Amino acid sequence: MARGERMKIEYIVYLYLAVCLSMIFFNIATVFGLRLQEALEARLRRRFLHEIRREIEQTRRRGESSRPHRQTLFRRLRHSEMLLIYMDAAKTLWEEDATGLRLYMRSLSEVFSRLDPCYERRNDPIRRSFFLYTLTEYSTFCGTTYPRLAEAMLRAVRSPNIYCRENALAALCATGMPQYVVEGLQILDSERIRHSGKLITDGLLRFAGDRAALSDCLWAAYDGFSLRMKEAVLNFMRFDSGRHGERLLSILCDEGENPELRYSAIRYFGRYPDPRARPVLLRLAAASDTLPWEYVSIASGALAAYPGDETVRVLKKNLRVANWYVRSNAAESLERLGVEYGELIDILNGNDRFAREILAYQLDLRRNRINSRASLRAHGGGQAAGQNDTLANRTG
Amino acid sequence: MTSLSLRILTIFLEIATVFFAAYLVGYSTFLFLSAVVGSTELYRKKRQYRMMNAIRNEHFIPISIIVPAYNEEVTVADTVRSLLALEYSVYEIVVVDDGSRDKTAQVLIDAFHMQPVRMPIRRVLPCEEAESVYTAVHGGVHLTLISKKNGGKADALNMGINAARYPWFICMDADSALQNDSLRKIALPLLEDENVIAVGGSVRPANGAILANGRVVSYKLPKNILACMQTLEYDRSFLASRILLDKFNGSLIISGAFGLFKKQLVIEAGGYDRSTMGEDMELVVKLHEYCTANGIPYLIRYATDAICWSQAPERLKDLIKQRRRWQLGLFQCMWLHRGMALNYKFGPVSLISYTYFLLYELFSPFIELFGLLTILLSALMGMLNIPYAVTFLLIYTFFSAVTSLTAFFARIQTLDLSLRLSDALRAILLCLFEVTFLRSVLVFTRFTALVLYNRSKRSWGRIERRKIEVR
Repeated sequence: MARGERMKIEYIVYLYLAVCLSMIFFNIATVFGLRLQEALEARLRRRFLHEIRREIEQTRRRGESSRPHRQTLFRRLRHSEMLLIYMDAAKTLWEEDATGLRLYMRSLSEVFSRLDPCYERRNDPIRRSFFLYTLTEYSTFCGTTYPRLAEAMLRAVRSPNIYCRENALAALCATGMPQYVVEGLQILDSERIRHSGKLITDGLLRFAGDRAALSDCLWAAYDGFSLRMKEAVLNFMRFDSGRHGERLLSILCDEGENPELRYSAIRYFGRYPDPRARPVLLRLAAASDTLPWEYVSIASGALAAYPGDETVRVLKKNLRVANWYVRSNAAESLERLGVEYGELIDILNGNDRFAREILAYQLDLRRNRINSRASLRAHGGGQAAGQNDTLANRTG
Repeated sequence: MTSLSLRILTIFLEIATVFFAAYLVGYSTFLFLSAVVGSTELYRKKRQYRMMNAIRNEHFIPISIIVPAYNEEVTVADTVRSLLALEYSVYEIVVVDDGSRDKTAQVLIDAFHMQPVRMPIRRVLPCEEAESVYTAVHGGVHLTLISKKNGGKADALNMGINAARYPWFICMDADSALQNDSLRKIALPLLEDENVIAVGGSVRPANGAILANGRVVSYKLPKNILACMQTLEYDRSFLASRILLDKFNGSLIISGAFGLFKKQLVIEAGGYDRSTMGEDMELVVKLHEYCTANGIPYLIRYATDAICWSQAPERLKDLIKQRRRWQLGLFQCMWLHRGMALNYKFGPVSLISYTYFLLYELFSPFIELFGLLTILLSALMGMLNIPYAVTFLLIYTFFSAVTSLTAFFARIQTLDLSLRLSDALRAILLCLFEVTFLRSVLVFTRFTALVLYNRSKRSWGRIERRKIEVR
């Protein structure tokens, strides 16, 4: 212990203690601070509500809000906490008087345009991201967007912060202007920014404007997109509607096309049956000797939407393929097609154990579904929806 | 005593002093950094959430939830009910009954009207064969029950992976409950970075919590003192040290109660090791090794707001049994992957995380015992400054208690836990008791765990189960 005394290591511990105690006091102070903050916010929210209502009347009478109000608003909304409360108040009034609020908000385009550099300059990604979120709500309130604000959103798409990018993309989708959305995606590609394809697809599905116009714009720009972006766009088309058969058929039939894009096309035609796709899908599903298993497997799954003798023949053949996923999808498709037991007896009594087992499993699921429905009816109905076949839930 | 032997002893004690000084500074620094980084990160996340910095997607990633179960008839139905209430659109539940001797399987079959199927299971990962399979569909969620011969938790998990249909799986315990947004929150890191291969969730003791419709309706510190002290311990881990380790991709453990994994990668890495008791930690360490060895860019993340409520043992003998198992598992894992020790190839994972677990978790009982012996020796030789030693001990104990409290009070910055005054007072009163009494018991437990190693059998470890309060 003598050397320990000389080293005085307890001073290090004192320092750590001091910091930890400060953090505890900070956290405790936060609790009291939060209560105070809530009271203050409630007061500010009431004030904003009063002001906005007054300015809505002013806008109705004179066509725009008052200049002093706009000037004061700009000064106050540079603080993110105030902007948060202000938008909260606006959301309340949107429920009350959407038309009036829209007129009022449209007169504030200058204010929001001037706010953008304030939030960009601060170099605080949390605040920046929040401002971009408010632009989404602002676009909704206005029912339109303004070029300067759209430029702000497009600049933010370049951000290294994922929340900034995500809020910027959401804001672009909220504008309802397809050209801005496409430009945003092109920026992601040109700057080689990796943003999750699922998030992009989801954002596109929440587009506030005319989806047909959006898909037209996306197709126009499609060839210039990277592979990742093309995948995200095709997934959007798949969840959008069955209007894209023509373009997707050409992708499906193009043997030189990237496999991932062809898989997306196969899945599309599994969701939206198209007689033109049938022969291609049958050919892909039957090519277990020549093509990668993914083609065969996904095509086998898609064939559930194409009833017919040839389909049943190909799927039964695929029950004997070595690859597990091919067999599994083929069995599932046969079951979804409602192929009767009699047509499958050659497999069920055949020599191929794997084919027998996978098919028997699907038939068991079918039997259980029928039993469940019968049991529900016997007990007075109830929610048949609860017994939906989970196979239909697979998005592939 | 000759002057030579005296000199040798003196030098030995001086070296020991330096060693222990460095050891304590290292541990204090780790605790301090954990508490500070944990609190700061939680504060930042809360601010982020308030400022709408969040991903509000609806495009879900398909997930299989695997629930290995052994003699869980008391809790398993509630656990599955909580899973069926999750706000997530594409997932399935696979319960693996590992040869239970009670009515675990029958409870599920009756509660969820399950029916038998002849489900072929491709045993890519080694596991015992399935004896029967039952399925049901509830609210669009496919529920599968696989009964198999007893093979241990790792074996059951491997079976679950073999049967899972989705590319990601979650392992969770049969005595746990998730909140309705837990699945969404644990999957979010996958959308933030495509290199994420595993995500750990945050586990909280369910003792003292009441859940209804997947939400916490009431929470206070457990009445049981042992469970209460464990809550402080869990906060030190999940609200502090795991956040710190997450900062440099240094997580060596994802709790077996709630973790999300990329199925294909786990299969390629060999799945759960059936020979260890710490299969949760072993898998994560194995993933670090596998990805590093194969040049695969990877991230193992921690989602602080993906919550799983799990039961903490309320009886001392159950706690001892649990911690003994954990210590054994830790030893097996560290030994199995000893190639990671001080290996620059692994970067901070080896130099910081592995070293920390080796010195401050695995060897700490022995080091502390050695410390006590050197203090005794110093006292016998008249070299011990007793007032200084006592003062230092008190300072250090106080510091340990304060870091526990720092982590505890960091819950103010979590999104869903509020802090009652009664809980705060209890925590302050108990923290000193926790760092002295509970810690001493656990040090002794961990010490004897390795001593009794050869006599232990590989087993789940039976502890008394109580129902989680789920409405």
